[in-house]
Amino acid sequence: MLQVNSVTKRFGGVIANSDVSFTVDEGQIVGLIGPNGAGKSTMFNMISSIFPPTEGSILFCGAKIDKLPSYKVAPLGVSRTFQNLQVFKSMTVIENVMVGQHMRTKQNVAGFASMLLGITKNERKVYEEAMEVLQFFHLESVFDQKASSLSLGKLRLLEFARAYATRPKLLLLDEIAAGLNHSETSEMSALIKKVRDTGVTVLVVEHDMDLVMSICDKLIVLDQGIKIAEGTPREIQADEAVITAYLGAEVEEEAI
Amino acid sequence: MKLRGVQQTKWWGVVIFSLAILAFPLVVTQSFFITQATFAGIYAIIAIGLGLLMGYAGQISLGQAAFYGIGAYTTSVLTTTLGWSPWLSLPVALLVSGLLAFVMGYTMSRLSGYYLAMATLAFGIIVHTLLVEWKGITMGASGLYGIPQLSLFGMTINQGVPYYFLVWFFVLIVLILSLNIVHSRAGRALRSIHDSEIASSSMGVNTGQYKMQVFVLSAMFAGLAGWLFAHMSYSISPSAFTFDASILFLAMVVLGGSGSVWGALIGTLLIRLVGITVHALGEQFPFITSDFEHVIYGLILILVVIFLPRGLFPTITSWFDTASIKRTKKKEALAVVPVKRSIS
Amino acid sequence: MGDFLQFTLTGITIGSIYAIVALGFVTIYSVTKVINLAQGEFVMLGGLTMFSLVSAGVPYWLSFIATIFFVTMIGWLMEFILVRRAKGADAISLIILTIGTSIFIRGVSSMVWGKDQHRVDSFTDNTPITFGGASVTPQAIWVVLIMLLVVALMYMFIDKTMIGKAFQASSVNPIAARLMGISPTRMSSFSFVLSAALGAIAGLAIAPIIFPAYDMGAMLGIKGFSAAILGGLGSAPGAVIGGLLIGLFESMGAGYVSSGMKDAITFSIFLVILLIRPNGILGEKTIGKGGL
Repeated sequence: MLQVNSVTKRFGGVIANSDVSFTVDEGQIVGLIGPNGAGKSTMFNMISSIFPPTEGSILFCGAKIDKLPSYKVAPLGVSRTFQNLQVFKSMTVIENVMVGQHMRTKQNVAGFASMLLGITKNERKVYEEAMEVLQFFHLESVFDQKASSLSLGKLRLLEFARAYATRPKLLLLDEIAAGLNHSETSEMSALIKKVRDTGVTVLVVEHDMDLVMSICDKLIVLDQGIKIAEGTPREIQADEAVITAYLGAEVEEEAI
Repeated sequence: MKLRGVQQTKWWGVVIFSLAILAFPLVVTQSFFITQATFAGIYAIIAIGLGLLMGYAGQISLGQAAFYGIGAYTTSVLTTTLGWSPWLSLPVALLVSGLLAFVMGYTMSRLSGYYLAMATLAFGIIVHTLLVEWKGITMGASGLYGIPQLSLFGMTINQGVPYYFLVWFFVLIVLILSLNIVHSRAGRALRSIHDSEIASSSMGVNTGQYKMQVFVLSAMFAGLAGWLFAHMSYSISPSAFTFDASILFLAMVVLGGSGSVWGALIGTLLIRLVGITVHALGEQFPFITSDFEHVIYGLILILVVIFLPRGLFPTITSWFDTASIKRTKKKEALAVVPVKRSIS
Repeated sequence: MGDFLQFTLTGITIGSIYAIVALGFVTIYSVTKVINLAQGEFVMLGGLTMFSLVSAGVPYWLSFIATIFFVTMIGWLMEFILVRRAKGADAISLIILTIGTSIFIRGVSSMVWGKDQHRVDSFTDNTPITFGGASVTPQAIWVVLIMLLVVALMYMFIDKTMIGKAFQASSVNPIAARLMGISPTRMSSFSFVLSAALGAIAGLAIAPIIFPAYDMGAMLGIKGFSAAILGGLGSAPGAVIGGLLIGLFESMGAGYVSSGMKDAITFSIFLVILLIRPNGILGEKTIGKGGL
């Protein structure tokens, strides 16, 4: 479904990603992991077309998406959450989700004018769908609260819900569990699996190893911009290169 | 049909507002105040458009007076030199303002932030200079005279109460239109752009296009105001369309609240009130010159930014919101207790 | 040829003033990310204060120093009372704050000095010097010399002194600078003080040529701002280049087309350049972390 081909990204003299290639197949939950500075977020930003790769290409369902403006990527079926939380703070929870449905709804001039006469059928449908999404994510109790008043855990759920409301084929989760406690992380794991079971492919960037090991079908490990390993969680746990990358050479010395 | 949790137009507010418009000339009969109220209406149209631009597209315009002037001069030239009917020149005035905004927005779309703000400033200055210098068309600084009045069904819409109603009728249309935009899918898209352009874009919102549409709309509102202004006065001159005028409109939006359609309206009325008050004081105390007005406007801008950064209207409404949240939180707290008892 | 030379000289003269004003913008912006649209008022205050002091009989050189001191105080006050309170406000609010300040200062000035233009004597005897078909007044030469002096001093200051380095550090990475013990509030205050001083100097230099009046600040501020933008916001060399260019456009426009159209021409060229280089001629310095 997603094909990253030999992607390199340079920012001036800094090489964020170097010749990275991997694929994500339909129905998988794939984890993109690696120590800090590995280039994971940069990769995410390129897949969601925030900026283009310097070299290489990214294909989604066979179509090249790396040169598209970012607002054209969502209609193709890719949506994402943001590591630094980009919720719409001045809007309520349900309004946030309704924006997620933006590109799947239309409102022409006639519908616009009939707003004079009260809520249109369209608006009501959008509203109800948004409510369903909120229920899926256990957020329905705060539906009418301003996003700015929510706790971190709920904010992460909201970003998740909003991205899900776009009915994506591929959902990119950028450190969705960052800052969450143990029970919140478990809840998040369960939700990710639930989302996958509805037919959405998920690509996660994560630091939380428990989460990643427990739900991912496949892991891709980056270190300093280069892909150093790819495989199932078990394979990765045993991989020497990965262990060195995370822990440094100290492990080797200890063994001696 | 109410959708809780979604921002919606408070139609009762619109009704009360309409009644207030109707009642005003019955209560206040001096022609001076009627004229002032008419001007307030004209400015309100500009302010509402500017408010949409600033609060929803998140872009400052330091040259809004340019579109106001373009609207006024388009209709003035068409009706005097070419003898057009004012009602025909209205759509042309709207079109010219909108088109110029479109061209400007399109060419300047690569600019952002301060660069774009400066570009709007530059545009405003260019337009004003041209209005003064193209004497052949605009009659320059000495002013363009002989602008015909409007007439409907054979009756002239005179200055005073009839024109007051005409202007405020248009204000009502602009108000309802803007409220509808803001509370629709488009409005949500705009608000989302304002809160996080990057996230909005990742939801499939064509942010550039939306921002452009708001820019064009705000320009057309200003053009409409210009048309109304021209046919109210026997003559117009470029001095009404300077950088100072653009700043005045800015002050109205900032004071009332740029994220709010009602706010822009209220801000306009308040600024107008300040202007009238200063004039009145100036007649009593000669040391209060017209420049004192500038001192006051400057102070207002300063104080609003420091103490009421979101503007009057949003601040006041959020006080009501907080009060109601406190009430609901109290209810929730009381509801928890009996449940706990039943579990244990 | 005589005409072209004349216009160029006039352009460089007025451009030098715009350059100094633009430097004032850049100084404040680079540290605080605030666009101080009241910058032009510092220039106006410089000119009018000088006029008042000289008219009151204060010796020229003393008035000079007193004016700079006075305007610098105003700059400090502005930062202390206003900008500091509005910390954390978004870019639009800050612009509006400075616009409000500018209007306020202008209003007060018109009440103090009236609306007339005032005469200030030149630094030295002002008989024009002619060469190559163009004539130049000694005051104009003073203006350019002062601009060059200011640029040189700024460069030496920013690059060679400790405070200058602290200043640079604050603008490039405010968080790291703070960790190094550089107080952001002190730097912010300092940037306004420096900027006001620059404005005052510009006002003093141009006062004999331009006949100061209460409203001269508005256009100067706008042109100084556009010069800073033209050169690339945050870039000091850009500000100087931008200022000189704007001066030249204006002078050429006034000379070759008409004096009335000069602003339209200047700003049209400005817009065209922005179209080609949306981040200014020298480009905005994007290394800094403090952002809009």
